[in-house]
Amino acid sequence: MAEPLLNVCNLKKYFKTRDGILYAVDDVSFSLREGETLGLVGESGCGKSTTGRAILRLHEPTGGQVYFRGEDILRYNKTKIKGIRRDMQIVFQDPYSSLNPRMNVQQLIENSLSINGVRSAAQRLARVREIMEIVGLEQRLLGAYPHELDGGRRQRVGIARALILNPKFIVMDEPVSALDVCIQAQILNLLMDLQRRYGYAYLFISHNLSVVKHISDRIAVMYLGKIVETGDSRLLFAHPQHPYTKALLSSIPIPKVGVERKRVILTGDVPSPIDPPPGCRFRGRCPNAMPVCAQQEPALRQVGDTCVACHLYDNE
Amino acid sequence: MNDQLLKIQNLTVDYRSSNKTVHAVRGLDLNLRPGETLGLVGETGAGKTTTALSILRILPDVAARVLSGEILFDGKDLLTRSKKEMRQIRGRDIAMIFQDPMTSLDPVVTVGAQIEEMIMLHADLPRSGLRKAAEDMLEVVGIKRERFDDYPHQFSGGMKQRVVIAIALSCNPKLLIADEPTTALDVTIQAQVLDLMKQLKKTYRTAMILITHDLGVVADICDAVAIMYAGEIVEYGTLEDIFDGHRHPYTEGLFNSIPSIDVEQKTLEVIEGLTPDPTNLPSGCAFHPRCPYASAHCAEERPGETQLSDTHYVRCFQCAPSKEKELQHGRTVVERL
Repeated sequence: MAEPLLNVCNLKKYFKTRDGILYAVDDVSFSLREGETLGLVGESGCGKSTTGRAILRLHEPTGGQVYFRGEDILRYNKTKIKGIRRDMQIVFQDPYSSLNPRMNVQQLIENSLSINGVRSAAQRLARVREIMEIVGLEQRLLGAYPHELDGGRRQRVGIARALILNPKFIVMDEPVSALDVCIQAQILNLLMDLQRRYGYAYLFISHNLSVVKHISDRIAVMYLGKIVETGDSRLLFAHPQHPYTKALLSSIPIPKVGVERKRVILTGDVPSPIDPPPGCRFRGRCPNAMPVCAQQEPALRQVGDTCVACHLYDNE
Repeated sequence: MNDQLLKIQNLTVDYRSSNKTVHAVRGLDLNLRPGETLGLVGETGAGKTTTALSILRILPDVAARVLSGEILFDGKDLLTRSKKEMRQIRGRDIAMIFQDPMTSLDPVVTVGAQIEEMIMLHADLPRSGLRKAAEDMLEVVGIKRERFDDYPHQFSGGMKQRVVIAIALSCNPKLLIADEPTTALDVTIQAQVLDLMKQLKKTYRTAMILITHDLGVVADICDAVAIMYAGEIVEYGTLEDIFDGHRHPYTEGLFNSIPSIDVEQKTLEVIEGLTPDPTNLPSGCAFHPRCPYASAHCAEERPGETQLSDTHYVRCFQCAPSKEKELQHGRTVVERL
């Protein structure tokens, strides 16, 4: 197998807070090949966005390695990391706050071209026009400001801005969560079409499981800074093994009538990621918790179709 | 029919600013029986929330104009009630849950006191009994009564939404309007809150209007569904009518836009284009520029209501057997009302 495009090893990001250390991302590892989409799912506060940002060094990671094309980019200095950002881009969740309101569409999109040394204005404009065509933005919007655009178009600007440097890898941080279902479907189709044409690798972060399943090849489920289960998207949805994954999947409201489902309704809320107790972090809400769960943290390992971190499968 | 709890007829609401008029709700009819849960579904700007605010008469005074219509609640028109009467109806007879539990609670008042206030205003209860009644309400929504003296910031999002539900239900209203009650919550917490709402629906037999854009939530909890587009209800029916036999092209597009978790799809079938500008709506059927089945006629005339069965209505020429028949149906519907 070819070497993965991106290899994240034992990534850690801790934040110091007044109340103690917040373990936002704690020992997360995964890899991503060209043209592949990894869906990162979990509830708010589980560390999915922090993971995406730590990979791009928008947050400096506390520990671990991020190999991009075989090189550990966490050891790059500031100038070198700027160079690598051409190949690694991000699309943010909120198209309303991620665009500078005082720049028009052309300026917003061409900004990164100027930063990366495309001097000729004519060349920049030609490239902006080309990329607008690709993401489905009408040319007449070149001079429009963000407040004149609807949510779907704004998100297209965000996508155009990420794509203009021809990146290899893009972090999609909840790119469709702020959009209505019809617009959401349009953007999802666009992202998948772009991937087929240009072979982008996506890290697709979302809390919407139906969306993640639709777009991802593989899925990683996060809970309190840890990956608790990961595997092929279809297999994971068909045979979830971790009790948290099971609960998560059974909580998705399905738009169909007369579907009888066994629901696993979790009690309680996600606990605070500040100084989490030893052992498995899910055990407080887990319907299958055992004494060993309080003592030992389960490691992620291959069980059947997926990789699971759970003591239930210790004997398999 | 006289067994309706809520009957809205021909409601039209505009928002006006110095140079624009937003046609938010256009000739909306809606019926709700006691104990029934209606899902009001549509995209941003379809007029769902404006409809809810009209029922409670809490539309912003400066901009909003109710141009026509009646909102009969228990047989009496809410639109002609005095402000004082409305204050009594709100909370006691009709309660509302807003989308964001973080902003609908007062951060400097304990949750217990916020429930007490509601009971004090509307129920005929001696002061000494207030605390117990409020504590009971907390327990109903699954919060320990010891947390009476805690402040909203000490609760998580899901727990806050439970508190909001407790306040809304504390006077045992006949109608509960819930505006996107679970949208701000995580899925596992959403499942908890929906479960609670289903239980409460059974126990209290409260009629409910659930405003949402999530058809999954609708399937879970509603009895009837109204699909809104550009200020009008384009399709209305029972859960089965809408989920298994929807006829309006917009409803069809809405269902196709949702990625399915049990079927493999390569691409989603999308509705082309965008929701229309509410200050400048298309002629005829507001959906016709995006409609794959549109004919020339759709651009000229606004479709009336076609009755497909006792429970199922749709506003679309393509669903009407023929134009003449459609008109007849339109007439029978008017007669029925």
